[in-house]
Amino acid sequence: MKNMTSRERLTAVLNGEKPDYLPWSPLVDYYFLSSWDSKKAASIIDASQELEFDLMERHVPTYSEPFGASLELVCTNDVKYESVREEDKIFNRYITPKGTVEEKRVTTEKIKYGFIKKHYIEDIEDLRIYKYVLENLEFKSMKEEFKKKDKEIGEAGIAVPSAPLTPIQQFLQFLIGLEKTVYMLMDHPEEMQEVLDLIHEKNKECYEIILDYPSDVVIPYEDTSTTVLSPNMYENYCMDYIDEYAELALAKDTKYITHMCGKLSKLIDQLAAGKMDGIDSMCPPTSGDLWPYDAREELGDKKIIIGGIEPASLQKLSVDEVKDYVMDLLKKMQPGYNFILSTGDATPHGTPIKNLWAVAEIRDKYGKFPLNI
Amino acid sequence: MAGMKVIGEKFKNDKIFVPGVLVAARAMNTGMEILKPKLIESGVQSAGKVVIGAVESDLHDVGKNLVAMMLEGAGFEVYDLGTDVPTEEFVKKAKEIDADIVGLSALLTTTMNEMGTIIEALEKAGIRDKVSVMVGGAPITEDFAQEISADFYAKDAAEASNVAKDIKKKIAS
Ligand code: B12
Repeated sequence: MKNMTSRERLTAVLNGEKPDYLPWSPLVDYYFLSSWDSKKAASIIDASQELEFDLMERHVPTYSEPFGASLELVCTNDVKYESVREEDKIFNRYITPKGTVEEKRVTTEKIKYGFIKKHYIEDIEDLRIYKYVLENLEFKSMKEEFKKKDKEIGEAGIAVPSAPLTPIQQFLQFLIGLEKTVYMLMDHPEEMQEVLDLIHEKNKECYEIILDYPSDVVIPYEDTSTTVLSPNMYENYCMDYIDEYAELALAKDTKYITHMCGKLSKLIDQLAAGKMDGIDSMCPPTSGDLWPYDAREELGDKKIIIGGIEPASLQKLSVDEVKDYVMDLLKKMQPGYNFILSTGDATPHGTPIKNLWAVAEIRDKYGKFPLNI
Repeated sequence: MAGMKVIGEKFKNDKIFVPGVLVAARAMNTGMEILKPKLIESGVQSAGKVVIGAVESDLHDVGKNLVAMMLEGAGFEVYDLGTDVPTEEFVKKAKEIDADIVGLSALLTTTMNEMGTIIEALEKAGIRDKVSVMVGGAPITEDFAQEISADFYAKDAAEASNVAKDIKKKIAS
């Protein structure tokens, strides 16, 4: 018999205490929900009830790019921001006396907020304009909105605010893109470093605000992995920043868990040495390359691991195969301390509902804590 | 170009990573800009013509770009159609340039089935026999490639370039 609510169960693990059962907390967002015909789940909270999982709702109350943080960005002085929609395209612009930087996004039926077709920064001139934008950017807390959502979730789980990405990830994911970031770091190392440092300062302002939200945990959507980065780049551009942010979180008694959904096996030493409290969306092969039980050996018992199920497998496997997959994983993770069973990033569009139920069934049957299968 | 082969092998064996390949590719392209006119002048032929792109509704291009770079490094003439490429575009371009190889990239389980549609369209257009279809991307497997009757699957950019060279050899012999 379960004797904890989803909220209590997740909170227990995040605080290093024993849960009644292992939490099962897939990353479910509108990418998956949009493929679900059932009228039963208009929201992620509904989905958690229908599919019987412990909800960790991400990006609460919002995800403000390019920082990737759950707060509001406010342009000040003579900097203006505008977002214009033209058919399936969205143009986002920062207009400054030094010039304008513009990003172009394309929307699709499934992905309403669109995907970047052109980045804000394409050359050194754009970088200089963006630096001016940063100098005139402030942040506004959304603590009240966070509290409202967290209350709405109630005992179904917890709301998790997103913390800002390391400066290099903001370049890679939103501002410049991979190829140009690599080339601009070679061609303009000083100016790039200046902007990285400035983003870091701004990030610290974000942390100040977000760590004031009533949450046991914050997650930055780092997406760091050797899928796109090299271990060298991680060491040079991510590690120290992450450690510094982890310390800020620690000072506020908040867990700092980095979302890293790609290939991590070649970064394992750096991750083991890192000050983060845990890794979110740890993904096994083939999208990722690290099983949580292998990671556990390298990372030690203290770090929280969230993940373990490869999303593409969850979508493709049969119900019986899903059950075997999860059983095997639970067996190898015994006794299951500091582990939240989850997907290695977003549950795919079109994942069969019965596969999600299959995971819940195995968790209910064998997930009593400590695991003893 | 021989350098790109070394880079490809190192990438395959996790000795260098994506940023390293990008840097090498840029060095190659800079060199090629100088060399290209001279190669054309002296009548050096390209290794073959490749049309490549990410299938419709797929916007991931990092992997596809790496494959394109490695193929260029192996001496192929590459026509990169970009991302979110409609089926007709692949067919049209393959016909127009008389392609040897069509390379299809998909990173999403929701878009990978487009690959089968493109292969059917190449068949309908009557050029399926003339082109070899090579597929790749994180969710693609050898089995899936066979299922949709693609000719070749490659798991990474280095392998893609080796496969392309093999295809070309086969055509030549
Ligand atoms: C970067 C990234 C993005 C970026 C893409 C930026 C860009 N310009 O490409 C952005 C943020 C835009 C993005 C968006 C989305 N993404 Co994405 N993304 C990734 C990520 C982290 C890395 C992909 C990458 O760049 N890999 C690096 C390259 C080098 O590897 P590669 O692409 O596999 O390519 C190699 C081989 O596959 C092969 N290859 C590739 N193409 C070809 C072609 C040929 C012909 C051959 C022979 C070989 C070959 O060679 C390459 C080089 O060695 C992956 C995670 C992952 N683990 O893969 C998710 C991932 C692919 N994304 C995913 C998802 C779900 C999405 C979104 C739907 C997110 C959302 N919820 O809105 C959108 C979809 C957008 C769209 N319509 O396409 C999922 C897909 C899961 C699934 N079930 O399908 C993944 C796996 C993340 C995850 N674990 O859930 N994404």
